[in-house]
Amino acid sequence: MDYDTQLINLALDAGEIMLASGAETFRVQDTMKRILSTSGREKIEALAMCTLLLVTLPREEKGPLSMARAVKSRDVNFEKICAVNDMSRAFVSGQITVEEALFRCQDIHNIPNFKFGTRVLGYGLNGAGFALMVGGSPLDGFISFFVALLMGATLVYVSGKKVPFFFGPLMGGLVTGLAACAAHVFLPGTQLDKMIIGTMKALLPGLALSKAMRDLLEGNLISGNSKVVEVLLNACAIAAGVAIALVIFRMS
Amino acid sequence: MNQELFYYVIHPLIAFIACMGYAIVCNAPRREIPYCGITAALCWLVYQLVLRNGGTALLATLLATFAATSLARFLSYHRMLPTIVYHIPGILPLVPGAVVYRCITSAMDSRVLETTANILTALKLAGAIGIGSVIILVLPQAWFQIFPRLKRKNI
Repeated sequence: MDYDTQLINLALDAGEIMLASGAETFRVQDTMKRILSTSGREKIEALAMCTLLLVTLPREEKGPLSMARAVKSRDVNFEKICAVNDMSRAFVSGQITVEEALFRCQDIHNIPNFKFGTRVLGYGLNGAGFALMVGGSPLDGFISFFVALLMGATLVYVSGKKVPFFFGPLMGGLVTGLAACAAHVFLPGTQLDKMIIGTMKALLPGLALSKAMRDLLEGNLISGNSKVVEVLLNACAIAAGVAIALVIFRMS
Repeated sequence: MNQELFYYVIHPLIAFIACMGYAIVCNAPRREIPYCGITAALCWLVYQLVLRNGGTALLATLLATFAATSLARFLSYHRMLPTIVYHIPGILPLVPGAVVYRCITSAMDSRVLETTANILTALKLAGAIGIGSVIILVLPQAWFQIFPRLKRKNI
């Protein structure tokens, strides 16, 4: 591969990892542009549109070079965003060559997540804390911890499978509702609403919402619009899950 | 227990622990997890301060978003990492979960007016978070470079 192809591959690899890890559109485009600008050519272009990356490198002598890549997986992984950020910074400042940077992209792609137990424990801490913060009693917080553990286990399990993206929030909401209702039946002293609100907070698309607003207000209208739809779909899926559980609970 | 102490000290502490949990869920780098918690604690402290001193939920959400986003940008400059790492766990306590729950229950009982009002409230609070974040995020970087940058190892 000649240098230009390697450069464009590096830009696409970096962009793909960032977009799949949940970075903002603005940051993805900026990183790709910085990587391409090391070639010193003018009128380079780097676009990111929700699931699509487009990169163009005009070359006077051999004709322009342009590549597209579809990004299917979507996840939240801040560590990968930080690692790509460091890598592109090192490459642009000339500390590493293209080959080294491509190898580092491979490494970053294979960074392991936190272990299953740790992530589920994170959900548990989150649910317990928010149940207390919205005005629940210590007992509510204690029960919410286990409800959130169940919800987290479901979410982490579903996220590894090939299912439509709204399926995770739907199952999360359903499990949350069912577990909280069951706890409320056995322990009538608990407050059902506080437990569900506290546990549900980690599910609600706060991340996607703030990214959508930012994209829209910065003029990335295509990404912004599709993210607004994603936020609404997610919120409706969670609401549907909780509602199904509550309907079952009230019938019995 | 003293009411003010409870809301101004215990609640931010709980927010600190809860949002460290969320940072783990989001796979934040290990060294940054406590800083995510600090952002959330500041956010919840500001929210409670405004709410307990006569402010509305909208004003409290907006000011807390300003505080959390500013701290996130400050930290992002000093730790040389993207702002999003501190920003997302930081604004998580403000996400209107209670309104969404009331929305679900009122829709199940076919109380149409209440459902509509709840949906509009949720959109209002979500919009406050969005606008509040964007206003701080588009400010010039130089405003957050108050102290000289601390060195971060192993880049």
